[in-house]
Amino acid sequence: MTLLLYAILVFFWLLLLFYSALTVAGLWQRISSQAPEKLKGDYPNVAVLIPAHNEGVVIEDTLNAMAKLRYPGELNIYLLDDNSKDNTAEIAKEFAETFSRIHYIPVPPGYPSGKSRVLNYGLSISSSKYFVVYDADNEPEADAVEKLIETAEQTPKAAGAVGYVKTKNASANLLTRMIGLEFQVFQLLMQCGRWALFKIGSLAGTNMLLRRSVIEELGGYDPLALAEDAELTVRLTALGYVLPVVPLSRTWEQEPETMKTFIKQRTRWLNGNLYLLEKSFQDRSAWFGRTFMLSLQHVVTYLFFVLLLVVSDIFFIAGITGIGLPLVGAPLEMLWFMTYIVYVCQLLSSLVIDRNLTVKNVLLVLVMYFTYAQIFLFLLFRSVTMYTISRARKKTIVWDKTQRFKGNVE
Amino acid sequence: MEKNLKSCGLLLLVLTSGWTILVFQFPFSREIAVASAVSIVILCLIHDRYSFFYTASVIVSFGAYLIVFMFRNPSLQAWELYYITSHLLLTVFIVSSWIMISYIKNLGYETERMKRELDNMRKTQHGTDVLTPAEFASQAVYILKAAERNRKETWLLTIDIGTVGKRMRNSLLTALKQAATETIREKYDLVTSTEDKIFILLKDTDGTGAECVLRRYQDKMRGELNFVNFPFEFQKEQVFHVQQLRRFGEATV
Repeated sequence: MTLLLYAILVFFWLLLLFYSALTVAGLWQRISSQAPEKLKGDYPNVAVLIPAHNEGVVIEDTLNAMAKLRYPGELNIYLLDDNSKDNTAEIAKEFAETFSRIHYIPVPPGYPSGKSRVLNYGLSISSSKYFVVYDADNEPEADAVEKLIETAEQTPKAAGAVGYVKTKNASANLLTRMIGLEFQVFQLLMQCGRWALFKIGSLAGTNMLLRRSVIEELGGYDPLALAEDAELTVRLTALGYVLPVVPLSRTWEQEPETMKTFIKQRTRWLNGNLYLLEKSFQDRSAWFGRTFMLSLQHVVTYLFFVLLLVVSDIFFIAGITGIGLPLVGAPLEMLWFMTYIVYVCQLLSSLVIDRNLTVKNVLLVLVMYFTYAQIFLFLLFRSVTMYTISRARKKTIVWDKTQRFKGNVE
Repeated sequence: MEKNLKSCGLLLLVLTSGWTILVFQFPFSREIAVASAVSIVILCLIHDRYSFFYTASVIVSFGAYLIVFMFRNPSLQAWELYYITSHLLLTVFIVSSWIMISYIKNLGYETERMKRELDNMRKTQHGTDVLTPAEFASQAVYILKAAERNRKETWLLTIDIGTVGKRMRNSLLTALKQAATETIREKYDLVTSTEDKIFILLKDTDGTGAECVLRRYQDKMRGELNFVNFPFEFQKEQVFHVQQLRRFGEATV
């Protein structure tokens, strides 16, 4: 028992130190990152692909932002309408009639449904050297595409580039504020850290640029993948490509405003990652070379991390209820307390680097471990159950579109 | 109002945690009091961008020390909660001090930024017809572009009083500016000044015209000042195109 507890503690702290190292490296990368240099020759042509399914609530804002994109080369924007039943088509057609570079493309019905199939169709009807993917609720800043291209063109062996995703409705409620904070540290800061330390970037699903030749070499998107970005990252890393992270290329994205939508979205993400995890266990090549870090991260996050979170909760509850923890010769409560402190410091660092240090955000950071982080346990339980049932019944989990919200923009 | 409330709340938190550290004798309370006092001073002195690194370093270092201390003194492990409370008090004190000081510093930075923006928006210098350097540079670009198209000449007169003693400089500059606005063609030529230079941009004129303005200006100054030979420099230079103006723009802005 003592040995087991020691092993858990050591592993817990190793993991924590690893994430802290990523945070520090991410901070360093963010502070020292400069705008990419302008290209000396012509800028390559780019297709912006926007998969859309019933996006009437947000598509006007999205297309307004797309119309304002500044790019020194040829840029075409394709709104890929996946059989919308609302007024998405009407709005998109109006933009397409006005702006020569915006195109409305109805996607023929097909199976399996989802973003991967729509993107494959988008690739089949366009012919640019590069393509950028934006979700239908995204509002990229005017120079976002330009910065991605400049970085991709000047980074050796780059398959493309990945930009920064900010939350546009962070002020809507406590949930969106916490999602925004989570994005800031665990996805963006640590993403920068991974790039700084290991030269590994991962596609974010939106504000991501890829060379067409690379996706063709990979045989397109996997239509069964629910987390198509993570799945594609593994495949292109296996081929030796890199994905530089560009913090200065920013897009503003809407996050779920209700718990129900949040749970649905995150369950889909987790199902997608479980699919990827299963794939990595079946394919030994996922554990060699540059993909090792990505596969390891998946296992650590979806298997070990949840175990450690449960142990941490037991320590905490035992501590505050006065139930004696086993005497193992280690200050268990103090160690638990310091993990909490390090977690808080990681979140605070993202507030500092993104210049949104407010009393409200600091208070949220203090309670996030006890609230937001714990939802992960429920989400993982839900998605593992769903995934196992669907595998047992040999059914495919269908793509579950995230509900959009009107208004509440910062 | 909301910011004031937050600042007052933070101040109360700093004072309360400081008072608790001093009054309640938790483990290492004396060391924590010293660290807190030193931290306040350091946070006030260092630039805002380093404040978080300092705050996080103190908190994590003290935590690491406590963990090592507890491992080396297993008999004290029954009192872990007291040591955690000690750490918590230091954390609350330093974090609230950091946020409060950041607020105050940001107010200062914000004021400076707004002052700079206000200066940029201002067209003339206090109560005179002398343009602000930014406005001068902006109007001069249009004048030079127009002159370039109409094949007219534009001349720049520079009066450099950098050699004059600092005590006299301010009053002298005021007199020179006043004379400049009275010498030029009103609402036609441009005048601006920096700490030790006056720039006059003469529109649609030639070298003779510029020389004439300069002589008139010097005559006017002789009436005001007791100098036979001026202790400052006059320069006259033709400006051919906008690129050339950038040099003057950099000097004026």
